Parts: sequence; C-alpha cells; structure tokens
Amino acid sequence: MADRTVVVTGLAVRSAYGAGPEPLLSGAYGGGPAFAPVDRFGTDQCRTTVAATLPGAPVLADELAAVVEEACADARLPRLGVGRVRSGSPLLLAAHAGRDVTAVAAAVAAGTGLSTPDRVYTAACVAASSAVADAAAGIAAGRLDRAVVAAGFLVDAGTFGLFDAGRALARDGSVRPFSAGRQGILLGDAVAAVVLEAAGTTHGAPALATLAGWGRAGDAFHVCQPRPDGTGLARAAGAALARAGVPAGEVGYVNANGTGTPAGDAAESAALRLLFGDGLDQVPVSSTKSVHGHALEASALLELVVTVLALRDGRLPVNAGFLAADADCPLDLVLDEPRPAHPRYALSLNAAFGGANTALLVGAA
Amino acid sequence: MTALADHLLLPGGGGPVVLARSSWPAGPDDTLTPVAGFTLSTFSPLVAEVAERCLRARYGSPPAVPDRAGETALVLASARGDVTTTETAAAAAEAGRRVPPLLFFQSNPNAVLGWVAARWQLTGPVLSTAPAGDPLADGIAVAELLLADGEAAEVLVIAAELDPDRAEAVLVGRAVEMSLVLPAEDPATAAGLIVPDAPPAAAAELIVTDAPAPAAAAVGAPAPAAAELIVPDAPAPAGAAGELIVPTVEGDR
Repeated sequence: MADRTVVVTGLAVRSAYGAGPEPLLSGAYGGGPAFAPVDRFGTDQCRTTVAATLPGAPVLADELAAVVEEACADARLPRLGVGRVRSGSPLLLAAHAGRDVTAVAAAVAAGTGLSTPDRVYTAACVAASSAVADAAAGIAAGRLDRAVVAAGFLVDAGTFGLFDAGRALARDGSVRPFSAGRQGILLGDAVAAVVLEAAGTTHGAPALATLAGWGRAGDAFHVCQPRPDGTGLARAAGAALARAGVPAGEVGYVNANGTGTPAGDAAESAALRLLFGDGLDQVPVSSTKSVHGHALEASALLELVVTVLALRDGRLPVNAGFLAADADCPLDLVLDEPRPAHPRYALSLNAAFGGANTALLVGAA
Repeated sequence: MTALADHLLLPGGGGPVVLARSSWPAGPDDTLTPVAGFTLSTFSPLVAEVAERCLRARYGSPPAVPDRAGETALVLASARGDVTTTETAAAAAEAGRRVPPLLFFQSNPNAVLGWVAARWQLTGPVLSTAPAGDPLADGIAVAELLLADGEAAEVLVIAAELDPDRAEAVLVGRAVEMSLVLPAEDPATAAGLIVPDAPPAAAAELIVTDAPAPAAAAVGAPAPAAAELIVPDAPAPAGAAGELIVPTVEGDR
C-alpha cells in the first residue's frame, strides 16, 4: 500500500509575540525581534540578559493544554462523541527533560481528551521535529489516522544559566543568522501544537498544508558542535525529499535552523550547498530564530508553524539581524521585508546537541 | 493507558531482534569509566558505558562496520534524564550564582549520544525520550518505528536512570536483515555470537521472535533462530571511553 498523505489540519501557538499565529507571523515579517531584558528571573550573574519571553509567569502545562485545545478546535476534532476521535489519538509532546515532564504530558492529555503519551521527546532542538516525524510515519503507514504534536519551552533560570555559562548566548542582544558578526543564540518562549491527519480521514477541516516528507540523520562528530561539512544535515534533508519524491529544485523556501552561531550557520550553509548545488542561489532562506528566539525542544514545532503560515500567506519571513555578508554563508537570504512567493514546497531544518539533524518538508495545501 | 506503540506495532511479524546487549552494573563491583568532558554527574558516563559494552559485543573495537554505521540510530530513554546536571544548574541560577560552564556540555541527554556516535561513527538518527513506562521497552518501541519507517537498519537503545544508577543497552535490528549484518567474513566469530543458553533479555521478551533465521550460507555457520542471537555482556576495556572528542565550552547549538 502506498503511503497515505499526511496533512496539517490544525495549529496553535504562543510565542513572545503573544497568543496566536497572527502576532507571530507579523513578527516574522519584520515587525522587530521580540528580545527584551528578562524579568522572569535575575540575570545579574550572566553575560547576556535578554530573551524573547511571554509576559507574566506562564505555566507550561497550562499553556500546552491551551494550544492543544485550540489546535484540536482548529482541526474540528470533537472532544466527545463519535469515534473516540480524541481519545483514540495520541499526544506526542516535546519538552525539556526533568523530574516531572511525563506527569505534565499525562496531565495535558487528560485535560484535552487525548490518549496518554507513552513518552516525551526530549532530544534538545530536534525534540519536536522527531515527534512530528514519528507521528507522520505512523499516519503515512496507516497505523494512525491522526496525532497531536505539541511542544513547549519557557525560558527558565537554569537553562538560561547553562547557555550563558557555555557562552552560547549573543552578548550584543541580537540573533544574526548567516551574517558577519553573528555572536550566538538567544532563547525564546514557545508553546505550540499541530494536528496531523491522514488525508481523507479529517473531520471537515481544510488542510493547512501537507507534511510531504521527513528525514533524520546524525553527524557522528561531536557532543555539541555541528559537522563542519554539513553532511549530516544534508542527509536528513535529502531523506525528506526522497521520501516525498520531490526534487530539490521544487523547494522554494528554507526555514533554516540558523541559530546565529559562527560554526552552526557555516555548517548549515555547507549542507544547503550539498543539497541544492548551484540551485541554492535561487532558494530563499531565512532563520526566524532571529525574531522569536531559540525555543530549544519547542523550536522545530514553532518553526514548522511559521513555515506553514508563510506558505499559506504567500510571503516569506525575514532573516533579521543581518549586518553584512559572510563568505561562509553564501545564501539568498530574505532580508528587511517579507518576500512575496508561492513555493510548492518548503523545508524546515533543525539540528541539535548530539549531532542530531532533522528536516521536515512542507507542501502547500 | 493507550500506548502509542499499540498503534504502531510492526505488521505481520518481522520485528526487531536483539543483536547485542549490556547492562550496568554487571556485578557488585562494577565501575564506570570517566568520559572526557563530562563532569559532576554519572549520567553520561553511565550511558557511554553500556553503549560501549553493547557495541563492542557487536562490532569489536570502534568504529562500527562502515557500511552499517550510517544506518544505525541511537535512542536514549530516560524517565528523568540527567537530573544531577539539571538541578545543579537550576540551583546555581536561582541562588544568583554562575552555572558551572562545563555543565553546558552535558545540558541535554542528547549530548552523550553525540559522543557515542562520534566514537563509533554511527550516522543514523539520534533521539532522546522520557518514557512514561518501562524505559527499555519504550526505547525499543521507538526503535521499531525507526526500523519500520526505513530510517535505520539497526538501533542502539539505551535506558539509563540515576539514583540508583542503572542502565541497559540493546542493539536491535530487523530480523530479515540479519544475514547482512552478521560478520560474514568471519564465520567463527558469527558462530560465537550465538549463546543459546543465555537468559533472554527482559527486552527480548517484548520482541517478535518468529522472524526468519538468517541464511546459513550468508554466515557460514548453522542458522540459529533469530531469538537466540543474544550476546552476553562484554566488559569494556580500561580506557575504552577514549579521547576522540575534545570538549569545548563554546557550544554551538
């Protein structure tokens, strides 16, 4: 049996821009980066003092439950009634490892009527994309009709302190992916959920996009540094294209991992060159981490949401913070303002500690 | 509880078989080999130790068989992860102190998988999870997904927890591909992998065992039943956790 088509029928998001897709997309279109001094905890002992955070003191379980409920409503999944639609659908959650993380997952599932998760995906910056890949694989193979993938990261003192101590944070308070003078990442809140379903089994909600392909590969290089030649990330992206049967030339946008670190962005540029060859010069690229920050375990889902929204809107998000070209990153970056475009396919790329690389290929609905 | 694995079981048999396995502690006096760059917590050395033992039982010394390495995934299942590192960092930050810089190196369970992958040149998918139930069983369920979806031909599954420290590792592969992965160039070695009297691994009980046995011709030895291919723990030699990777404080992701 041929693989079934996987469609996105619902999504919901919280970011430093607030609740919902619209403020996020507005920010991604050049409304200004969301970074500001952190007031959630003290940063006096840190080298960097800014992040992109939601106002107040959000509680992860509450925010996750809210986005799952909103995404299910978007997909018109009834909470009760015919077919055990929700109770027969698994929740795949990506979040930071810790003592209580599986209890949070169970509480979110119980509160939203979904089946209790077997696990939480904790694989750093590819946690959410790994959950998406597992859900999509199950749906494509006919083992599931639908799944809800959710992810959440709220900037906390411990994680901020770790990244600050590791000198991973940009001291100039800006994320400048693929730019000369880039200094590193900045953290950002994100809580997001998407509903993935098999085409033909939906409950009347229109497909927002297709998840045409997914791929994963490892660097086998280092604990936390990327393989400089980009071969791991290129293999992940190539696997996503091969699964979909889509040639690289049909990809019209790349939402890059683009953390804003010197080595990471250079390696990703090398990966894109391996993937697209000379055709790379005609592929628009941006990293929206430059505006919403790096949401770690939730980053891949946040960026998938941005990619889906951009394809639907027909404009590509900007790569903010750009100062000047870097010879190590010869890319067609979307700078200054959103670029009108209607690509048939877009790639959302992510890479993580452990040399883990993922690629999600999104098709326009 | 509705298990995701219930939805995703491999159809029609052909599920994974155990190619090698290991555990820590293997005895009352078992020790952990320090891993360069990892400090304070025993979590990463624990993961590295069982990975090393399991991979040595399968491949001998690193790197892994070249044409298999690219199809070998790593899955780490840990309900709580490295709580020593996480809570040390949180306590320092909340007290207004600087977090020890080296902890960044080990701030996610994925990190030590990168060390294992680099040492053994395993370039398949890399994934960490926090399972709600039995960690090893859930790790194997994740491995089944990777095998079924064609994303890996073998998966090193590691389950590790702190306090008390314990870990297990199993290398699983598709039964139908067994003839391809046994070291066919060395029939004696292949035959030596068979330990019919070995007690079945806890994990092995969860695994489909009616898979076809590997073709005898391919290994030059009598064909064992797939379920018999369980390898006893192999001790890691001193210093096995080597100095391949020089740690850096300047993390890049």
